[in-house]
Amino acid sequence: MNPIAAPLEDLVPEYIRHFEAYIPSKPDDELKKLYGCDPLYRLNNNENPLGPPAAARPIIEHFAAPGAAIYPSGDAYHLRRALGEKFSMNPDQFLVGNGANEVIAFVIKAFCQEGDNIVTADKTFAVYEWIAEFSGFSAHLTPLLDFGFDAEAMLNAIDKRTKILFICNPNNPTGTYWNREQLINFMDRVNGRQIVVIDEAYCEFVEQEDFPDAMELIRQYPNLVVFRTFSKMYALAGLRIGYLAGSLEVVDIIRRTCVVYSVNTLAQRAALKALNDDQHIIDTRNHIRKEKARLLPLLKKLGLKYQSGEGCFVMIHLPMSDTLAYRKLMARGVMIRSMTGFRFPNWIRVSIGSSQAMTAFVKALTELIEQTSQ
Amino acid sequence: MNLQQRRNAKLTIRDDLNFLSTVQDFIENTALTFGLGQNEALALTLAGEEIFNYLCTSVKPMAEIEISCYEGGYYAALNFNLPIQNFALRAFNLTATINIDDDKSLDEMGLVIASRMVDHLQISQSDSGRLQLSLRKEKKYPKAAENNRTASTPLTEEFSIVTPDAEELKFFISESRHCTAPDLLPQEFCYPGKIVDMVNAGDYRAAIVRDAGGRIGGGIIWFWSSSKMVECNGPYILAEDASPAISQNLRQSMAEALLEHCLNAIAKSSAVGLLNRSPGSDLPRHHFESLGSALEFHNTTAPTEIEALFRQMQEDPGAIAWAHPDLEPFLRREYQRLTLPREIRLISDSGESPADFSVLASEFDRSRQKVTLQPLWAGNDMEKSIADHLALFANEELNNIFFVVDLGKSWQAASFPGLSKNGFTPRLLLPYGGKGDLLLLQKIGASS
Repeated sequence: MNPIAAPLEDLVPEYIRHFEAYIPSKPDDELKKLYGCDPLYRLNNNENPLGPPAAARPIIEHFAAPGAAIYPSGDAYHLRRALGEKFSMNPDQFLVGNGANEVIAFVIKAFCQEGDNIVTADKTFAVYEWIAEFSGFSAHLTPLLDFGFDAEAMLNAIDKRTKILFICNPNNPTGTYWNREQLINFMDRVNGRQIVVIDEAYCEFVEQEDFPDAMELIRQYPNLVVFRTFSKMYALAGLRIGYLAGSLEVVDIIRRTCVVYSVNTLAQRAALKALNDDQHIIDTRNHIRKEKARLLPLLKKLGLKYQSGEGCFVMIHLPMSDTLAYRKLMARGVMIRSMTGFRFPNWIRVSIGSSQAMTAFVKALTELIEQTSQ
Repeated sequence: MNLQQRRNAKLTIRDDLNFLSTVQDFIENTALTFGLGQNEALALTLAGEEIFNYLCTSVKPMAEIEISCYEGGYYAALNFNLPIQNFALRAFNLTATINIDDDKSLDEMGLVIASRMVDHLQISQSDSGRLQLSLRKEKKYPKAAENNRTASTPLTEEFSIVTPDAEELKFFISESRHCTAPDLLPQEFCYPGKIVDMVNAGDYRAAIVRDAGGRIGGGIIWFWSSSKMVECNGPYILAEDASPAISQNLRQSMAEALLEHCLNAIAKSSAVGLLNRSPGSDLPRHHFESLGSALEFHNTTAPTEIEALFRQMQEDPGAIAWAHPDLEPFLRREYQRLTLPREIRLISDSGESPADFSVLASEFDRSRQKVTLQPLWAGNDMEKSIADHLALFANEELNNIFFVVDLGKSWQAASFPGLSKNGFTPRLLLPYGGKGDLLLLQKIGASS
């Protein structure tokens, strides 16, 4: 009997039909084979080269097998209590997700319905735009101004159907940030009419005095939602855990769209321990500072324009196609992020990795530039 | 006009010649409704009639045939879609029912006759095994008048990239013909009204650069040439080289801004690459890499070398390329030159029985005297089948003969020895142009 073909044209919504799936890179062993390189330094995902905080390591190393048979806490009970204590907030003001990507989806699902839109920048973390579009909502994109979010343009892009404004602070990939005054001014002008999401995935890397504490502003602005992650500074990317915080009223609404039991036990336990490991933050910041101080003069020496702000990454403008540079650097054992997909053609973003990885990157980049200029 | 607004009409009918007049009426009426002129509608109808006749008498699918007509804005498209068993595919070789040595029998070949009446004809097979014959007839447009160049006034340093309205677009097209060598412009630039319709139909996208005084400084056009590939024409800057109207710096920054606008417009799409087949002097080449070149033969003038510049839009995840051992040295050299991560897997003959026949799909672009062949089915008569097709094309004034092999499909790799013996030479690789990379071969020699 022939299988019955599903009438996909009728079943699939228009906005899914035209949506392109994200294809993650292949595992290291496959890439090494294809590109003929070994070792391969991954400097593409802004991972913390120091690894998980010392306080969390024993939890990961000694996770007992029987624990895998038991469902995790469905709403990350203990972690939310710890977050409440750390930020002097009610535990119910937090929702924990399977990475920050999942909490982005919670917020969009909670507030958008057919015909609604979100506003964000055209050159920022792509997942706000992706999730909105594959959920059937449009994304109003505003150009960056001097590599930073343009508050005026975002306010102008708001229409009657705008429900959420997404700001990545500091911005991935440019590292620019709104200071406290800029953020407060923006919140005042939005005047509570839309939900404002401040994605602080990289906030723990920022050492600037005027960087705002968005958690503290939630008291003043009940329409403010803050995203944080354990993937970057806390180096738990492989366990997938992130969270959002907001006013009780707003979080109560978002909770209705929240997938429970999506965060595994090990992730919850490791995050709980990582949360108060302040020494890990100090050590990581020292490492990033030191490596950036080594990298930036070398880029200057190579005559390359770069954009380095807050965060564990630097954007570099190349005199060649970034996707070609990706291949050539891969062949030399270094994986960076090409930025065409971020709408920054001919730019690459390099994560600050271990000293060894950064040395390999500089060597490979130098060879590439010298080869190009010949 | 976007995709949703395009009108279409569908007729489902048995493969029975008694329905021929129904098919004729359907095609003619829909073609006229979709805006073709009388002559063009008649040509499409005659082509459709030939195809239907051929399907009923030579292919005999013993099934319903779906005939659909689509409104394309600047063209009407006619598709024949039918289920087909592999054994019946043979009939879709252009040479299936004719004796190549007998000129008279050529006239009996329905598919060839149909191809002469339309602008494009393509035979393809879907993964589900259905066969589709697609014909396209374009509207007739007046050729652009040979106007004098509009006097150029200096452009301001400040400019923006905008989507042009119809008049601005026609102005850009018309002016670009004064500032660019003709062989670097697509033929469509001779018909500004057609470009406007192509943009309105959503098939082409355009952007222009407008300075602070509202003057148009240049533009770029891009379009999807397949589900994965975008091609661009331009950027073209509207000033002759060394014109006092524009400094070299301004010229470069305008061209860069136009190209970046195009790149950003497709950055988050399914496009894996951006191609430029006629790179002019204003194209910021550092965004691209050279894939190689092909020759374009003309009736009266010497062949021109067409370089293909390419840029990947996504990070290359690596892929498998299937190859005949004879092709391996070329692939190794090209993959090394392009730093493309590919695992070359060689096909082998383990004594298995090959299929009895081959099937080649043909795509005609008569305006460029061009035909592109692609294998639909590989059998042990591949070499002869290619030779028969070449003999046919020699009578059709087709000077540019290409063959495309999808290196992502192992069975296609077996075509190479037959191609090589018939004078085809590998010209270039188009990364991810099909299921895998596409290898473009060109027939160089006698019939070209």
